[in-house]
Amino acid sequence: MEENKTKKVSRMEFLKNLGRGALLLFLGITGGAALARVKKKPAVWQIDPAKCIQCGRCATECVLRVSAVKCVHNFSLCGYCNLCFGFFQAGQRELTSGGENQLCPTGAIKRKFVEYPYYEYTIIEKLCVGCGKCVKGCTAFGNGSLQLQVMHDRCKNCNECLIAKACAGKAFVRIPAEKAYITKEGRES
Amino acid sequence: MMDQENRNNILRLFFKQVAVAAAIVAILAALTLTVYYLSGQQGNIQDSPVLTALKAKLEKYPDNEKLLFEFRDQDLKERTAFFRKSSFLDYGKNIFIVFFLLALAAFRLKGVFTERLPEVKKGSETVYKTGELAGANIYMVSSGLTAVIILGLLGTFAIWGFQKLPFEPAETEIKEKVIDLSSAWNGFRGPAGTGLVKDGNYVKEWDIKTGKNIIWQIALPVKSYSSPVVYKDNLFLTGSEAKVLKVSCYDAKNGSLKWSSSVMVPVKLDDVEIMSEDAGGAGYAAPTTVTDGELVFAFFATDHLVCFDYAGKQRWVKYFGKSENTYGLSSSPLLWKKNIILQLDRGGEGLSKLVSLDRKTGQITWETKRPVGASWGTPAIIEYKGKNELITTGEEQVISYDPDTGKELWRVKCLTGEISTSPVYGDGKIIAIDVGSVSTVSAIIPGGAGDVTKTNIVWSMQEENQAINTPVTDGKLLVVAMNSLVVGQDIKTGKVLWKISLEDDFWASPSLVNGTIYVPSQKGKVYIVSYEGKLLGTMDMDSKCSASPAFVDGKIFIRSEKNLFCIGTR
Amino acid sequence: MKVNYKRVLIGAIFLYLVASPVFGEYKFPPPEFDTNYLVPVMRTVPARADWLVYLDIFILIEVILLSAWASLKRRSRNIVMLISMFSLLYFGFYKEGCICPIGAVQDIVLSLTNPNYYLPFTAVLIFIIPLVASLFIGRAYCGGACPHGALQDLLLLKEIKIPRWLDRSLSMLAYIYLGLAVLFALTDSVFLICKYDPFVPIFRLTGPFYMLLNGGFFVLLSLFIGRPYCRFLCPYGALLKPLALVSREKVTITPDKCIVCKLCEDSCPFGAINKPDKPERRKAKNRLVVLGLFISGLIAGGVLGNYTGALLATYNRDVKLAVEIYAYSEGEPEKIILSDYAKEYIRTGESSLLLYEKVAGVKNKFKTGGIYLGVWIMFVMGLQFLYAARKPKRDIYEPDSARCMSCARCFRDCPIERQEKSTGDGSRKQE
Repeated sequence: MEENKTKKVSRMEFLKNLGRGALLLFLGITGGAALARVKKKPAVWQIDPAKCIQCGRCATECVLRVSAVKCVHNFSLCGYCNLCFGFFQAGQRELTSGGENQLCPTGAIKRKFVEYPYYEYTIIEKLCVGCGKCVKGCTAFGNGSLQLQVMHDRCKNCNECLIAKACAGKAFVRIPAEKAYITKEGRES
Repeated sequence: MMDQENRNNILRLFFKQVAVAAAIVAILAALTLTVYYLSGQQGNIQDSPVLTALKAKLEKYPDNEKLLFEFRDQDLKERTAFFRKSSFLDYGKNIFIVFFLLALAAFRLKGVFTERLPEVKKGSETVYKTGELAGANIYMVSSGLTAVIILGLLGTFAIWGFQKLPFEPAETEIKEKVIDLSSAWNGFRGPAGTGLVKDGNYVKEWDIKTGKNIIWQIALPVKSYSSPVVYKDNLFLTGSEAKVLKVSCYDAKNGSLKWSSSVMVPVKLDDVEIMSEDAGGAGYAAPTTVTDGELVFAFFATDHLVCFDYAGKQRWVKYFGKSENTYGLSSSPLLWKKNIILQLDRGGEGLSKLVSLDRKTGQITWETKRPVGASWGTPAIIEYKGKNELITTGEEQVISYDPDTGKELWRVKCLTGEISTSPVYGDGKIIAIDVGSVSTVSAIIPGGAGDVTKTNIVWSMQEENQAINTPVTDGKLLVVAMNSLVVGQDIKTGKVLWKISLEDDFWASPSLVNGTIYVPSQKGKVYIVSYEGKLLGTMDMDSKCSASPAFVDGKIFIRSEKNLFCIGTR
Repeated sequence: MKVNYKRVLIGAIFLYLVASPVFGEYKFPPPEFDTNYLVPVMRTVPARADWLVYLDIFILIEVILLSAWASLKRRSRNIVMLISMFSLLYFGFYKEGCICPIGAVQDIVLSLTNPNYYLPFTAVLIFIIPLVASLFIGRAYCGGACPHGALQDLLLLKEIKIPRWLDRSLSMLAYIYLGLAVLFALTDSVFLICKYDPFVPIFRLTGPFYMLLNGGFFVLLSLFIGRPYCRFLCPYGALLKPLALVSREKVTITPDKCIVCKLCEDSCPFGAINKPDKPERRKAKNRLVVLGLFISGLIAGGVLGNYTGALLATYNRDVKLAVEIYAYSEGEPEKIILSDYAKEYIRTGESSLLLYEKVAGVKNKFKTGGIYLGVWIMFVMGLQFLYAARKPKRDIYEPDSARCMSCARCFRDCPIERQEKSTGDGSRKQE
C-alpha cells in the first residue's frame, strides 16, 4: 500500500515535471518571439505636431482630469507677431490683452512687448488645459510655433493612451524616452 | 488582567466610533465630489453661452464701454470659477482619501483589540458541506450550468452578430469594363485632348435670338470657366456657388438636370482664398472634368480631386494641400490607363508636382516633383516612336515624362512668362506657346534625354499678341487664337499661311471640326473660319464664352458665362 | 547708432545654418532682434530616466523572490503583508499601474500580429518573469508583488464567504475576459484589460468617471469579498493558475502534523483550501457520452463564436468609422453629424472603398477570432466540468495550488504553526 502510494506520487511528480518543462518551453518561445520584435528602448507617448489637427480631444480624452497634454511654445519658430493668431481671436477689437480679444479660454498665454514691432508669447502652463485653440490659430495662419506636447511630468505613460485611441489625426506616436519631444523643425528633440 | 481587558474594550469602542465617523465623512465627501464633478464644466473649458451672447452684443455695439466691462467681468468670473472647481476637486479628493484611510485603519485597529485565537466555527460547516446536492456532485452541476449559461449568452450575441454590417464591401466594388470613348467628348478638348473633330455634321450657322439650330438652351446657376464634357446622354459641368463646389450632370438630349452634387470637403472653404472670375482669377472650378464612362473626375482650385459616379454619389476625394497659385489652379485631369494624371503646378517652393492616382480608389500610384512654379496648362499624352510620353508645359520649360512611372524623359527650355497654354502634337512636333506681351510659338521634336533645348527645337516664331489658350492642329495646319488675331501656320516650317485680325480676345481654345475652325470669344461671339483662313461667319452668343465647346454626334455644346447651349439640327 | 556687427554676423550665420531649410516654409520669419533679447527655449520636462526601468524589473524579481521566501520558507503572514504593502506603494502608488503584467498580455499579442507596434522590452519582461516564477514557486507574484492584489488584500475588512460552487463558476469569467481581451488586442481595437482596470484610477487618484466608478465598485466589493478581481476577473491570474498547478514548490500546511481542525480553511478568504475527503470510488462510466458532449460543446462554441465575432467587430474603431462613412455617403450628408474622426478621414480624401476593404479584413479577423474565442470558452468550461467531476482522495487540508495566492493567512491561523513559532522554530524547514 505504502509503496503503491509513493509510486503513484512519483508518477504524479513525473507528469508535473513534464508539464512544467513543456510550459517553460512554451513560455520561452513566446517570450523569445516577443523579444525578437521589441523596440529596444523604453517608450513614451508624444504628439507629432505635423499630424496634429487640433481637434481638442487632448483636453477631454486624457485619463487625468486635467490633461497631460499642454501647449508649449517653440520660440525658435515664433515670428513674434504683433497680431498673433494664437493669442487673438478672430475679429478682435484691438491688439491688447483684453479678455474680449483673447483666444485662450483660460487666459494661459502671456503677451509681452519685446521691441518694436515684436511681442513675446509665453504659456502659463498651470492654466493651460491643452485644448489646442491657440495651436489651431497659430498653425493655420502663423508659423505653428505653438504646439501641443505631452508633458512627461504629468503623463502616466499608460499602456494604451486613451487620447491616442481618440486622436482623429493619428498624431499620437510612441517614441524613445530619451528624445521625448517632437518639434516641427527637428521633428524629434 | 481585568484592566487589560477593560482597556481593550475601551479602545475597541473608541476605534469603532472613529471608524464609523470617518466612514461617514468619507462617504459624504465621495458623494459631494461626484455631484460636483458631474455638474457644470469638466476637463475641457467650453465656450460659455453667456459669454458668447455678450460677445455678440459687444460686436454689435463696439463703442459701449459698459458692455465691454461687463464682458470682462463675466469672463474673469467664469475663468475663476473653472479653476476654483479644479482646486475644489483636488482638495476634496485629498479629504476623501484621508478619511477613507482613517476609517480603514480604525476598523483594522478595532480588529486588533478584539482579536482572539481562531477557533472552529460550528456554523461554518454548513457553507462547505454542500459538496453533494441530491446525490449529484454540486461542482459538476454548477459548472455544467455555467457552461450552459455561457453558451446561451454566446448564442444571444451570435444572433446580434448575425445582423450584417450595413454594407458588404464586395458589392461596392467597381466592375472593370471596356468602355468605348471614341465617340464621346469625355474630357478637356475631347477624348484625345486635341480639340480636333474628324467626322460628323456640325452646323456652321445658328441664331440664339430666333432659336435657329438651337436644340436647347438652359441657364446655368453656377459660374466657372470649365468646359462641358459629354458621354452618351450625360453632360457634366463643374462650378462653384458661394464657395460650395458642385458637379452637375445634365441630360444631353434635352438639357434637363439629372443631378447636381456638392463636393463633400469638410475643409472649411472659408479658409481658402481663390481669386474669383470677376477679380481676374480662374475661380474655384476652372479645370474641366474627365469621365471614363463610369466615373467622373473633377478637379477644383481648392486642390481637391473628387470622383463621382454617374448617379451623383461621391466616391472619393483627394486633397493635395494648400497651394500658392496666384489665379487658382486650372489644369484639367487626364485619363491614362487605370489612372488619372494631374499636373499640379501650384507655385511655392516644392509644391509643384505631377501625380497619378488610381481611378477606382484615389490612391496615388506615383508622384513626381516638378522643378517649376505655377502654371495653368493641361498635359497631353502623345505617342512617339511607339512610346508614350506625357508632355507638360510649365514655367520656363516643356518637360516630358513617362506616363506609367512618372520618370522624367527630357526637357526643353523655351518658355517665358506665365504659361496657361497646353501643348499640342501634330506632324511629329510638339507645339508649345508661352504667354507674355510677345508670344513665342515653338515646335519641338520629342525624344532624347535630359536637357534637349539645343537639339530638339525645329522652329519658333514670335507674334506680338498674347495667347492664353491652346492651339489646334490636324498635322498640317496649326491654328493659334491670340489676342485680336487668329493665325494659321504650316506646322512643318512655322510659316504663317494666313492671319485674321479681330477686335476680340480669346480664352477658350479653338476647335478644328472637319476643316472648319470654331473660335469662341470673350465678347460673346463664335467666329467660324474656313481652313483657308476665310471668316465664314460670326455667331452672337449671349455672354462671353471662356469654355471650349464640345462636339458630339452632330451637336455642339457651348457654355457661355450664363447659359449652356446645345447647337445642331434637330 | 552703434551696431555690434560681429554679433549680427554670428547671429545671421547661426540662423542661416540652423534655420535655412526651415524658414522657407514659414509665413513670418523669426525676427532678428536689435535689443539684447534672448530667445527662450521651448519648455520640455524629461521623461522618466531609462535606467529606472531596469530598477523596476530588478525590484519586481526581488519582490517575487522575497514573497516566495516569506510564504514558503518563513511562513509569515506579517512579512507577506509588509512586502505587499511595499508593492502597493511602489508598483501601485509610485509607478501608478503602468505597465503591469496583466495589461502586458495585450501588448505581446498585438506585437505578434502587428510588427510595427512599439513594444518596449519592459512589457515582455514584466509579462514573462511572473509566469516563469509561477512554474517554480507558485503564485508568489499574486501574493506579494501585484499592487492590484495587495490593494484588495489590505482592503478586506469583513469577509463574506462565497459558496465554493459559485466561486468556481465565477472564476470562469477570467478565462472569458482573457479571450475577449486577446481578440480585441489582436485586432488592434482596444486594450480591454487596461480600459476597464478598476485599480489603476485608484493608484493615480484620478481618472475618467467610468473608471473611477468601476474602481469604487471594486473597492467596496473588496471590503467584503477576498480579492474579487483576482479570483473572478484577472486574466493574468487565469494564465498563472494552470502554471501554478505544476509548480515545483507550493504552499502546504503542516502536512505531517495536521490535526484536521479546519481553522486554515476558515482563514482562507479565497476558498483555496480543499478539505479532506474520502469519496466513494465511482465506476468510470459514460466516458464516451462525456467526450461527445465535450466535443459538441466545442463545435457549438466555434459556430456561435463566429457570429459573436461579427458583433464584436462593431466595437472596432475602423469598423465604426466605415459604418459612419457609409451612412454619410449613402444617405443625406447634410443631416449627418460626423465625428471628428470621420471628418478627418474625409478631409484626407482617402478612398472609402479602401476603408471598406480594410474593414472587411477586420471583420474577417473578428469572425475567425470569434471561432477561436468560442472554442476556447467551451474548452475551458469543459475542463472545469471534468475537473469538478474528479474526486480526489484527501486525508488532510491541502491548499489548491492553482487558487492559492500565497498570502500566508493559513499559517497564521494554524495551531501547529503557532506552536512551532512560539517555541522559536520560526523558520521551520519543509522536508
